[in-house]
Amino acid sequence: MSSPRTSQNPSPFVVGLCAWLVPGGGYLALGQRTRGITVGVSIVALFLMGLVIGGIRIMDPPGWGQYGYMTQQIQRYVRTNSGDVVYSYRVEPVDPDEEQNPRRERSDRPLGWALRADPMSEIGEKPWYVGQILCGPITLTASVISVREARGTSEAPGLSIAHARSWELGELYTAVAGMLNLLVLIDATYRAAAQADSSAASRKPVAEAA
Amino acid sequence: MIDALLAYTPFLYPLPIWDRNWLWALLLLPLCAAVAVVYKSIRCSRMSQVPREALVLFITIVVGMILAAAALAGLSALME
Repeated sequence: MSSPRTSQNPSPFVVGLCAWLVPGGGYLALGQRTRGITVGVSIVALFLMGLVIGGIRIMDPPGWGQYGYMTQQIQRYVRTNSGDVVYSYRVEPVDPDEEQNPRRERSDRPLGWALRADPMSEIGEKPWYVGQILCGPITLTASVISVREARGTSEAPGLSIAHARSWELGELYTAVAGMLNLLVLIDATYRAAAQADSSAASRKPVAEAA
Repeated sequence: MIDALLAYTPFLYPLPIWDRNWLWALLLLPLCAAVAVVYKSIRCSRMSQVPREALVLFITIVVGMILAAAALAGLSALME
């Protein structure tokens, strides 16, 4: 239940960090155990249901291609009658060799990892991940497993990405879980700030009287 | 369906229910339930209020979505 802490209150930053690290952790840091467990279990269950519905490959982190290797940004120069034209494109490598040398033509100039070379564009390609990452380290762990499963081994090919309704519903579940965790994070941080304000106000008359 | 279920590994492969056209719509229910519980956990001052409030919100969302689906289906039938 929502019982205010009598000992030193955690700062809003610490509460916000706890809320991101573990869904419901912000409320637990504030001593609101029932609220924290209810919210945490609901969000984690929603996230895991997303993985059950769409499979682990619904985790599609920016910077990694569909085969599980780092997406590479390439700059290409094309000579035309009106002058040189420069444009850039991305390569999703199919194996480690292509990841090391992603050039398609001799005039291509590799710019490196796409997430580093052009981060906003790369994240804009996969906007659903912004919602998913709000769930915290659980998303990062699932992403690492997803990338590893996409690569496959010499005996078995990698897992392909989910499609159609599997993809849509899996993404919906995991992204909604992340967005709900954002709501919870904001509320827990707000409550921490309100607690800090009220404890400061209750100390003030005593200090003035002294 | 049985073959797909036997080959299914949870968390690794997508859930093999897509050849039953109506079944995927039931997946709306857990999503609405979680949204209702989390939202009401934030809004209610006492956690003892949450079960009742969340149930009311859950029913409201589901009924609202059914009505919206019916309205869209009607509109689609009219346009055809």
